Amino acid sequence: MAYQRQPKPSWIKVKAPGGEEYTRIKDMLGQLKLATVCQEARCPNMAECWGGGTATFMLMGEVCTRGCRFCSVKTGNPKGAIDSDEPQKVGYAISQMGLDYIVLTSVDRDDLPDQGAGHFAQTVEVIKRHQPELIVEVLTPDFWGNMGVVGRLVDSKPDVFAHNIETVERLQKRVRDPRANYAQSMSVLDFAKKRHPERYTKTSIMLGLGEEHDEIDQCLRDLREIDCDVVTFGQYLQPTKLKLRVDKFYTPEEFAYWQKRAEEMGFLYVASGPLVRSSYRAGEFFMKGVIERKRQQEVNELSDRSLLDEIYETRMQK
Amino acid sequence: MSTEVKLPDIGEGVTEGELVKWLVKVGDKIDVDQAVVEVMTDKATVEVPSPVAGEVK
Repeated sequence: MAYQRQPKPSWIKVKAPGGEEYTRIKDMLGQLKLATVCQEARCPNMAECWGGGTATFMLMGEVCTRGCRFCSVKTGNPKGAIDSDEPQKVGYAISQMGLDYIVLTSVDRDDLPDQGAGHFAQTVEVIKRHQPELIVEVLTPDFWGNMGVVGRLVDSKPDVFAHNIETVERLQKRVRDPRANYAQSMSVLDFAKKRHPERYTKTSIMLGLGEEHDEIDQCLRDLREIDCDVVTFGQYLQPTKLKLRVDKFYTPEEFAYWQKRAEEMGFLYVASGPLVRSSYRAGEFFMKGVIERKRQQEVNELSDRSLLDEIYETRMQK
Repeated sequence: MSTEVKLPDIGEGVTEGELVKWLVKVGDKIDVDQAVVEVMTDKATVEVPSPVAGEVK
């Protein structure tokens, strides 16, 4: 039978990328041979983000040693190959893009002795050295749950440490590479938070893979248990015909329900919507506000009230 | 002068999609960047903008 694309509901609609800013960024990234997850994952928001000068860099090449069933990034074995100039190149590209919030992610590099944590950390350090005011979010692999190497990355002091749980516990095996699992990912987030409690942890859940209501609820409770600050929900979209089919398209109202539910559970920030992606701009604007205020607060030392209290209070007043 | 509207480069490897709906008809006056057609790719429905202003022939 010929492959048939699943019909998309009316809300899964985007504008095709274009315009000067988009073209400028695309050409520059091509010249520097830098990869973005925007392109590799065929993200539908690329036009909007790039048009606004935001991109998520994907470090350590375009080939991932893992093969998750939701992701279109190529799987293979790069056999230890790595561009040691990449941290500098990324730093340069970022300075040319005029950004104030960037997201760095990477492929999984199970072929490297430290799974690439050192290279990743070095990139954060280069950026922080040259543009200390820039807010840096990292979206990381699980590093096999090896806390020695996770610590190396956490200590490079990204403002936000993100690692995606991706789906509920029951569907982990079906959705992710067999080397990834629920407990391991939870432990990475837990470790990052405990190591630097003043910094933020973040995770993403894809909806539409066959999960049940109570399973999502349990996942949220587990995330609160380890003090995860931020959670995002987005619709799973099948990137190619070889990947998992969409089990269900959630409506915008259902996304609003999960937004409210997670907020009630005490997450600092929740982004939820059909086209929300883990590094979607909407979340970044909020995080930017939170982090800039926190920095200001540290400078002023005027208030000993915690930032969280302040935010909860603002929310109560609404 | 006529201008061909091509499917823009919408991400690595995505070179095809199904045309699902025309948003304009012959004789319509359109602006630059106005969406003219909807194309469904594997992930989403994409609105393709016109690179120029003019009339649909």
